[in-house]
Parts: sequence; C-alpha cells; structure tokens
Amino acid sequence: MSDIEHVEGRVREIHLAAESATILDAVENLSPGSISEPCFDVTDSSNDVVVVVGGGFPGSTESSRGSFSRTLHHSSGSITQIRAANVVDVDQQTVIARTERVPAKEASDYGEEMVRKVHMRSRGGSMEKSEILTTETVSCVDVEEDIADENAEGPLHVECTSSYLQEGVTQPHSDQQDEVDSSKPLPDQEELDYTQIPEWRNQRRQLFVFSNSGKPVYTRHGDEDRLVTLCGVMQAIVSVVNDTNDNQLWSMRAIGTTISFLIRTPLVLVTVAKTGESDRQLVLYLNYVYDFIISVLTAPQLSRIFIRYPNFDLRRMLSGTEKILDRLVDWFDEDFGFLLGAVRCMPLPPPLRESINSLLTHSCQKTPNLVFALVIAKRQLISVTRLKKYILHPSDIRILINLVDTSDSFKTAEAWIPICLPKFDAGGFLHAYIHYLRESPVCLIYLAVDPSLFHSLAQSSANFVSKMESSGNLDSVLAAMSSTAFYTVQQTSVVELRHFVYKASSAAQLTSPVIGHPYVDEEGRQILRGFYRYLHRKMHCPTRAAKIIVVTSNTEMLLGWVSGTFELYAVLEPSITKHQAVLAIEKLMRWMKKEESQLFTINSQVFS
Amino acid sequence: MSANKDKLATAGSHHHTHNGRLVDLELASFCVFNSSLGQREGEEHQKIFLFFPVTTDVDVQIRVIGLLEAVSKFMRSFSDTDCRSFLTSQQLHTLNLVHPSDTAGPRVGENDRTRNETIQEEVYCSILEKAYKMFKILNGPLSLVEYPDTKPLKQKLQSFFADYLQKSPFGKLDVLQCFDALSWLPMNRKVFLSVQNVVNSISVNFREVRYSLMLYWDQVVWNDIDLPEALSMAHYITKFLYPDLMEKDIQAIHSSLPAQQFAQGHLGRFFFGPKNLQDSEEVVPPTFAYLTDPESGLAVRYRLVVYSAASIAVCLFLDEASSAASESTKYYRNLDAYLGPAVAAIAPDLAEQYSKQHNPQWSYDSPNVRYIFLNESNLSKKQTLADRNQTVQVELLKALVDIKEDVTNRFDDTEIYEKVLHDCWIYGKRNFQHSLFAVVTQRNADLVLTEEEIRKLCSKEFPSSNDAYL
Repeated sequence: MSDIEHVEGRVREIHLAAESATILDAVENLSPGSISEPCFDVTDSSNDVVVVVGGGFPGSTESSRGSFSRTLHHSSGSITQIRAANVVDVDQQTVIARTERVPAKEASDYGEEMVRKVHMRSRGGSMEKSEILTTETVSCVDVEEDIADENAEGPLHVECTSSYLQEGVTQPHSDQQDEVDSSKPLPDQEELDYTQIPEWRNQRRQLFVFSNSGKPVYTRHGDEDRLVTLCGVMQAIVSVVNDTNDNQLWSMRAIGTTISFLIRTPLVLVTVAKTGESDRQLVLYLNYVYDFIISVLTAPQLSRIFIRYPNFDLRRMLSGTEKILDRLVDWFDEDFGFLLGAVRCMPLPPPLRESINSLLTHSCQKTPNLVFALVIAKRQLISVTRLKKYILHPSDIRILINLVDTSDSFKTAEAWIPICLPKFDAGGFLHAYIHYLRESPVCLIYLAVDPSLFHSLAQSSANFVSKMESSGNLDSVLAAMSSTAFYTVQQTSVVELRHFVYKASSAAQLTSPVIGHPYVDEEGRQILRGFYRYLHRKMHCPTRAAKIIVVTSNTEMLLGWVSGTFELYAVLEPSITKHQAVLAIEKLMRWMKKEESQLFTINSQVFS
Repeated sequence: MSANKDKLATAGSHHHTHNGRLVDLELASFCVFNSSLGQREGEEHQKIFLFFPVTTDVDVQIRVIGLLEAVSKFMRSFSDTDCRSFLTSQQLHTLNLVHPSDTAGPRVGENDRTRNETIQEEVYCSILEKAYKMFKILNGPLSLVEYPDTKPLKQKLQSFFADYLQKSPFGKLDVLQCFDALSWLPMNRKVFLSVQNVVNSISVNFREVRYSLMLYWDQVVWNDIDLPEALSMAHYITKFLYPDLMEKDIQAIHSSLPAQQFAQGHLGRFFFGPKNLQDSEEVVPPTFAYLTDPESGLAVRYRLVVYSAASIAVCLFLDEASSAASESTKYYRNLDAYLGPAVAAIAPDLAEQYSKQHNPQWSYDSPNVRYIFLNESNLSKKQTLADRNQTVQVELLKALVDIKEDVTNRFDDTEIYEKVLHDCWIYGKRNFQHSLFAVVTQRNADLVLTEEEIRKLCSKEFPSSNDAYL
C-alpha cells in the first residue's frame, strides 16, 4: 500500500489532502489496485476509456460536450467529470483525484457519489459506454471536479495534461459559458448549416481535426457537433483518395482559398485558409496543431485509443484544452515565427541575460532527471538551459509557451503538470514545474522526466527566485520589459526602414521591432503579415527558392534575404532607389551584429 | 444538385514519371461530365460525357467523377468560387465548371512526390483552358440547352478531344504557354496597306464574309475577331492544321495535280473544302466556328473557311444565313481563283518582313538578358526567351511563371527582382496591362547591376514606352 501513501503524499502537495484522500478511498473501494503506474503509461499496450458523467443528470453521458458544459453551468459547478483511462488489468489501477472550486466539505461526498455512478453506469449505462466498460475493467479513473471554492485551488498533481488544463483555462466556468454562447451563432441560425452562414464561411483561417472515422475532434470556429456532416464529407474525400495505392490527399485550391490536408493517422487535420499562404506553409501550421494534441496525449496513447476504439470521441480526452488550442491557432496569425521555425527572444542587456543564464544553469545543477529549464515572459524567451546532449526544439518551446501563457491558473500558484514535447519525445510525458516569479509576467519552467521531483524543483525554484530578487535581476528584467524589450525601428537609425524580421538561424530565434507607422492598426498589421508570408513563401520554395527578392510597389518596397546564417525580411520606403535600399540593408546588418547579444540568447547554456 | 444543372465539368489529371519535372508528366485521364444527370443510383454513368482513356472501367470512371463532384461541392462550402485543382501525393486533378453562358475553361494538373511547390498549377490550368476554348470555338459552348439529347454532344466531344489529346503536347508541357499571346508580324506601312487591301477586297467580292484572320506562319497579319478567340484560332491553325498541311504539300508536289496551278504561281489549299475543286457535283459538308457576339455575349455560328498558300493562312468566317452557296464546289473554285493570286501578291513582302525581325538589328541581342513582353490590350507578345536555337532553362522559366502570377494576381503595379538559382536574376513588372519578364544571367550581377541591365533593355527595346516600365 506504499503506492497509496505515495498518491496521498502527492495529494498533500496540493494542499487538499483530506478531501482527495476520501475520493481516493472511494475509488479504491471501487476496484483496488496499484497506483504507482502513471495514468497514461506509454509502455502499456492497453486501452483507454473515457466516461463523462453529469452528476444528477443521467442523460448527460450521451450528451454532447456543449450540452455537457451547459449542464455543468446549471448545476453551479458541482458536476463531476470522471475520466477513466488506460485499462491495464483488474489489479492495476491508478487513481488521480483533483478537486477544485467545490466547497471542501462537499468534495468527498461528491467523490463517493460519482464513483458509484461510474460504477453503475459501467454495468448498465448507455449502450456505447456500457459496452466498453463491461468488456474492460476500469483501472484508472481520473476524477475531476469543478469546485466553486477558488481558494481550494493550488498546484495540482495529475497525470493527464488535459485534465489539468481544463481548469486552468476555463475559470471561472460561468465566463467560459458566456463566451461559448457569444461565439455561437444566433438562435435562429441554430438550424442552419455552418456553410450557409457567411461569417463562418469567410473566416480567414479555419481549422478542423477529426479522427479517421470522421468523428470531429476540434474546430477553431463553431461547435464540433454541428460539423459532423462536414467532417464526414472530408473524411470521405480523404479515404476515396487513399483508396488508390498510397495516394494521399494534400490540398485543394480555388481562387482566394486553399484547403490543406495533413493525414497523421489516426487523425486528419484540415485547414481552410484565405490568407494567400501556400499549401506548404499551411502544412507547417497543421503540424503545430498535431504536435499540440500529442503534447496532451503522447503519440502512442493516441494511436492506442484509436486502435482499440476506432469510433472514439477524442474530444473527451482533450476537453479543457480547446481554449489553449484556439489561442495557438490565433497565434499563427500574429506571429511570423511559426513559419520561420524560430522563437521570439526578449531583448535584454547582455550582462543581465548572462547573469540570469548562470543563475538558471546553477539552479539546475545536480538535479537528477531534470532536462530543461526556461525563463519566459510575455510569450518571449528570456533564458533557456538544457541537459548536455539534449536539445529543445523551437516548436516544443512554442507549444510550451502557449500552454503556460494561456492557462491563467499557473499565474497564481506553482504547478506541476505532465506534458509531452513531441519533438523531444513524442512517446512519453515530461513533467513541467511552472512558477511565475513573484506574480510578475516572468515565468520559470523546469522540465523533468521524474514525476516525483516536485519538491526538489520547488526548492530549486525558491533558490532561483530569491537569487533573482536579491541580485536585483528580477527588477531589472521587469524594468527592461517596460523599456528596452520593445524597441522601435527608429532605434536602428536606418531611416528608409519601416519594419523588419530577423532570424538568427543557428539559434532559431527571431527578433523584430514593434510595429509602427503605417501598420499600427489591425488592418495595417494584417497587410504587414501578408507581406512577410509572401516573402517567406518565395524564399522557401524548395526548388526555386529565391536568395534575394525585392518587390517594389507604389506603397512599399519589400525585401527578403536568406543566407546560411540568417534570414531577413524587411519593409522599406517605396521611393528609394535600389542602391539606397542596398545601403540601408547593409546598415541594418551592422546594427544587428552590434546588438546581437542583446537581441538573442546565442550562447547555449548547458548543465550536467 | 439542382444548382449544378447545365454545368459541365471537365477534369484532367497527370501522372508524372520523373521527379518534379514539368516536361515529363503524362496525362492520366481527361473527362467531361454533368452532375445534374444520372442522379439516381445505378445511373451515374449518364453523367459521363467523355472519359479518356476510353478503356477505363466504368466503375472507375464513376468513382473518379464522384470524387471530383465531392471535391468541388466541398470547396463551395468555403469559397464563392469553384475549386480549380486538388493535389494528392500522386496526382493533380484540375477541374472547372463550365456554365452555359460560359467563361472559364477547363484545367489540368500535375503532381509530385514531395510536398513542395514545383507544382505549377497555373501552367496546367492554362493548357486545359486552351483545350476548352478551342473546343468552344469549333463546336460551340458546352450546354445542355443546346443539346437536349446528349448523344450528339458526346460524339462531338469524343471526336474533338481524341484528336486534340493526340496532337497537343500534354506530356511535354511548354512552360511558355503561360505567357500565351499573339505574335504580330511587324510590318511597314506599305505592306500593311497591301494586306488591308486584300482583306477589304475579299469582303467586297464575297459579301458573306463577316470576319477574317490572316497569319504568316505563326504570326498574325490581320485580325478582326475578338482577340482571345483569335488566339485560339491561330493556335488551331498553326498547331493542328499546319502539320496536316505539310503532309498535303509534300503529297501535292509528288502527285499529279493540274499543272496550271503551278503555272499560276500559287499552291492554295482549303482545309475543309472539297476534295477536288474540279468536281462540281461534290457537296462540301459545312464546317462551323462559334464566335462570341460582342453585344449579346452569346455564341454565334459562322461557316469556317481556311485557305492556305505560301505560308499564309486566311481564315474566313462566313455569315451562315447568306452562305448557302458556299456548300458548292463552285464557290470554293471562285474563292480559290480570287485568293490564290491575291495571297501570292503579298507573300514576298510578308516573307521579307518576317525574316527582318530575326535580324539582329531588330532585336535586343544581349546574351545575358532574355525577356518576354506582353501587351494585354492587344494580346500581343514579343520574346527572346525561346527561339529556334536556344531556350532559357526550364527552372528559370518556372520562376518567371511564379513572378507572373505574383504581379498579375497579388500585387498591382509592382516590380519584382529575384535572385534565384545559379545566381541568375529574374525580373517581372506589370503596369497598365503591359508586362515585362526578364532573365538576367550575367555573372556576379548584384541588384543594382541587374536594374541597370533591365533599364538598358527597356530603353533599347521599348524607347517610346520607357517611362512606363522604369
């Protein structure tokens, strides 16, 4: 029973020992077993089952997520969602409990009640579920409760990213409900097919994810349940094309619209873009979305689910992460770095950055099983350090930054969550310790392979924070963030220049000044982003890649320049001669060389 | 599906054999179908008007067409325009809906193993569009209104495209097709007047002649039909009729034709005329051409007569109502008697003008700069990218096609310099319906030097319009 003690220990970490332990006991009664196995053990070849139960609303098992969340709402947040996953065998179970925003006293009662319900349901509930549950034994029940008491919140220990994230992004529940409602079409349009609604049709960037069987998993705009037919059509087209010897559907084009497909069995990802981007660029975005889903589930788990249950509704596994994915998709539009495969780095005075680098590296020394540590702020990288021989891919950093920045719950207390970094290892979870320094926008992240490292990392973090404070580094960073971190193009003193994006290829980092005249308003920003996407497309066409491109119109001169060590995309004044443009770019490059150590964190920090 | 009524879709797809090379693609299939027919299960084959290769299993045909229908319908969920193409790892299908009132043409495509942009749908689109335009001018627009019974339409499609697909180089695509325009023969005033004189006297002597088009080899000497239609017609004559002509010419020389024709100094031929001009009994089956009426926008049918002599092709569009007599051999004899000497009279002048333009004095002859100039207002082109001896590298031409797409669709009044492979620079600019695309292959050229080369080109080649380009 040392395992139970282990879990109880973890639960105490989250300051909810009493309540959670009761729930654990309850689940324990349901089916006793070992709890040392991680909930989503990737080496396990068993199945995953998800059951969603609306407490007191027997019909909600079959109900859609939308109505489920409404149910949640109506029952004042006291509804419990129970996730059962990873059937191993009768003897082996992992039970993770999480309680939040429910009056502490009620929590235990709820736990027991819910577990009973799950149990009952498993014997004779809805057809689909009962089928699953009678043939399989539930070995892992992840109980998630929405609890009204904000104070009960704390760093939580759960074994599935999504189950944790659910609470992070969606608080408070009533707000989310309102948002969902407002984003939904008017009631009289409820009956209409989405494709009949112009606002929906005209979205600049649509994104759909569905399973091989055509079940919707995610959509950026609209309610998945109303897109079942459309997803079915897409799936049909995909499979008809796939019928003939290894043929795969890639893209469709009409004037002004490109639809790209990415088939990553068991999922199909589709984007519909009116952004003028090429199929090749759109596929980059789809890969980010796929990576995000992997970051929640891990690749083996994803495929295992669908091997076992081809008709599985994956939304249940991802529930709670929709907002994060929404934010990621919106971020595609805002940040050119996704196409460049580079991370945005926060400009800091070189001595300050060095000092932070060494503090961070020092805090990581001699912590076994720690792989990476990062300091980020405002979606930008401040410092990163890594265990020897391991590298952190820019795409993984993006996924991580998006997750940390989107989930508000991290901002109030330290957190410990499992996350899979697909480029690092799509097969398993790392564990992320997330802590905002002194409730400032500066956030420290440790990534470790050992799920039991929470205490030692919390200790390291405390040391790091106190050193940051005592050395005055934190204040300096905050000061820099309000001044030098956001520089203007005027600071380069290249008068012909309006805006630019520079990527240091070796570090996979990019920098750009704040957007100024004449692109300050939203329309202007869109135009500017369009320029960069166009230049990127021209510079990265595999067979006819341009090394230099200069586009002159009445309104601006665009310049793209790719070499082995850097990529430069610039917008200049339209009236200058080519000779002036060349001189301006040379001047900018000199400035860049001079400021390099301020703009990027070039030297790779390593600990052992 | 009622929305699809009276629309016909054409689709083609390409297999390719060598990685990413346009020239090595082959046509996988080509089809014409109508979604409004064969709605009931088991009757789907009624949708199919044409399917190449004809040996394809009907079930496969139905499946291909079903996919095309699904894709175009799906695209309509997001787009107000029709799906132009869809790409898979092995094939590119291009498709186009042809409305009864007509506008667009059909499209073709290619494919590639790696997911990259060697694929230039535009090249294939323009080729399939060309195919449909030619079909339209010779057979009238595809429309179920015109053909309540689909059988004759199917036969027309079969016979036209069987011939077309055989003769047109689908497997050997010419990237330059994207820069399609008429080549006008440069003429001095005297020659131009004598050409005009011939054309005018034809319409005076043969009242039923409504329009005419005259070519010297592949270059336009005279035209009074709509320019895009002239382009299709000129393409038809040079690419489809001339090869036949060559054969006939050779035969004529070796056969026992009446000696007086040689004595008269001309060797005229009608393409769709009587087999033997001397046989008064022969009734000539009519050949038609369909030209768009500028006022109503509808296609109007004309009798088509194409006469060729001494490298000159005279294409006459006869008013159908008043051309009943044109079915007789006598009519052709008269026409021949008139056109023969008239054409023979201007032929030497045209030959001289034709050879003059290949004289270095007339043409910008820098080995480092090659260009194509397009004037959309008269659909004319002038180019040095490809001549009989030498063609600019295919990869550079593809890059030019990309630039053309950029300056035509993406930006207005824009100039693009691009440094591409082998340190060559390519240039594109479009301004007031005029566009210039160039390849500068000078060694170690930088941006400033390239700009200078283009400036030199413009001042030498287009002195009068210099301001418009730089």
